[in-house]
Amino acid sequence: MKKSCLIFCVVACCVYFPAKAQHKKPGFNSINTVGISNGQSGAALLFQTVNGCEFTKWFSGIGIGADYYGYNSFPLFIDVRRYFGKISKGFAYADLGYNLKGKNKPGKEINYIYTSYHFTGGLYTDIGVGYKMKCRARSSFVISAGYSYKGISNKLGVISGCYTASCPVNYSTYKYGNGRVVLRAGVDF
Amino acid sequence: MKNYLSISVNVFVMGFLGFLCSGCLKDTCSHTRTYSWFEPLYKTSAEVSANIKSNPPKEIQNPGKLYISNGYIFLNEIEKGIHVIDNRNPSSPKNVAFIEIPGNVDLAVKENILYADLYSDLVTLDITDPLNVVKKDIMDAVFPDRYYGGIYLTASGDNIVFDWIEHDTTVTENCDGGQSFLVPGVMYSDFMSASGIGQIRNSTAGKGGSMARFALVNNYLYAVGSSDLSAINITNGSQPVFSNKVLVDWHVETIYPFKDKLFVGSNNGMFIYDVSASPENPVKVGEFTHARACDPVIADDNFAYVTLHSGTICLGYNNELDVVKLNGLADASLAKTYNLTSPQGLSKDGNLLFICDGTDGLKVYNANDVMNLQLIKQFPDFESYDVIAYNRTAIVVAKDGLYQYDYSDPNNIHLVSKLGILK
Repeated sequence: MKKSCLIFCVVACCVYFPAKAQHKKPGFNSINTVGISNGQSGAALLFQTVNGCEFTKWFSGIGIGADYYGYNSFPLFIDVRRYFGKISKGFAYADLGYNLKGKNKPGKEINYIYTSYHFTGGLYTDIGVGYKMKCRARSSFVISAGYSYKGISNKLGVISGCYTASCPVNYSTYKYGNGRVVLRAGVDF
Repeated sequence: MKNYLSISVNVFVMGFLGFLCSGCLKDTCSHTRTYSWFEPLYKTSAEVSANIKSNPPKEIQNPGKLYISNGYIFLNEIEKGIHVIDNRNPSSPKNVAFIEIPGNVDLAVKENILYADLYSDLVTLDITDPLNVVKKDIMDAVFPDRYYGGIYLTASGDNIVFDWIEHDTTVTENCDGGQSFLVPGVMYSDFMSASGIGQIRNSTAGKGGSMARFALVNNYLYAVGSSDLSAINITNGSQPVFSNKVLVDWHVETIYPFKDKLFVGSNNGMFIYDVSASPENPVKVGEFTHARACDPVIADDNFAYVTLHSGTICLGYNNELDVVKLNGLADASLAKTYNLTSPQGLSKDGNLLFICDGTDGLKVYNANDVMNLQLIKQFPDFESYDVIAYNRTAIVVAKDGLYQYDYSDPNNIHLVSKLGILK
């Protein structure tokens, strides 16, 4: 229920604010960042591109990233951010989306012999604050810090003992949730 | 500008502080697994012994290995006993009796004597009248390291598991708890508490399949364990005498007799033993190693035929038929490999080679030229496991029944009967 409410709010923002700012000329923005995340699993690189429209103090867009924290994944998400200030602006942002699986192998927490594995994605969220500094006419430098959560799961198959015909395969599912601090820097043009 | 710098510094300070606090953030990992655990049902050894006889026939549910002798098929019901099938008319086989032998997975027949394992013990039965089988002997602890279905079972004690009650359950737990019990699948309960570790039992030749772990050569019954080869003297058929045991290799699976040689299949290769000089002390005279896989094996004068298949507890990824040239045994070498789907049991009669190829069913090859096997017939649409081709009839154990094919005319191999399996 909480997830549904959150998704509804984000979608509502995406629809409402552009509509509200229709009288303004919308500007296309592409925000491309490199980042680092740090949590219990250590530090890992993040790459992200968010593309959307900025209307006065609001921006909403669709983003995709490469996330190497824990199990590799590609978050696909909706990004909404609210700016404060005029030329150079502070902002708060919120991302919500789906964490697409990357290419992975089961990790060391699997301490038995398995015969198959299949990763699937999960929830992706990111909230934080940042700062956007104009450095050229149509480009800005962006930095941000926040908290991000991503989920991913893995269905493992283990053949049960038998010597005859096709042995039955037993499955179990591992669900991973990674909460971590994220720092990003990049350009907005 | 100062203002920008101030804000930038603030953001990074916040981020830095966040990084310092990142140790407070915990990743989560939960593990949901569904498994069956089996509760053993016990009988006393006296009760089990009294019931080793020809009982009314039972539906075939989980067929294992088979042996044919004197017009009868003796078909193992895995871990339960042996079905006696009157096959004197192959077009109309009749399930006529069931011999209850808990823990039984292997069998062999010589003349009127049937040998079967009862967990770790060897049972000897007189089958002169298959409808009135008589128990002659039970030899204790012949197979002390009996391994089947993922568990080791050893002998001793007075209680014998004769059946299991299956319970299904699903649990979710943290990944860091009780790793040793996290493997999904099957758990056998009560072993430790009720009977010690794996204390289950105190548990003219016919023709067997290529998946057999028993083999008969002259007056000896040979049985492979998980890593050894036992020789049992059956000169007095109804009173077998244990003679000797030799170490072979790890993960031994099958044994196939040909003349005075034994072809032992293991996960890692095929080993050839000679029993001509000293039957009680088989001597290794050759071997052929291959990629890890389950590997039933048969042989003729010049070649051995080894099928490798994946998808079982043997692991491995190969699904193929290896034809091995026996070059005087000592330097057996691979002659040719044929890729197959999931080959398991096989049998050869004359120039006809029968291969159970898993879900591809039964394949029949002309093996006149082993370097160029010709597929002459395939019976798809069922999952086959083991085959015995003998006296113009190929008996195939499949997932859904016992099939019989007449191959008296190689150009017209056809199904003559099917004995269904209770689902």
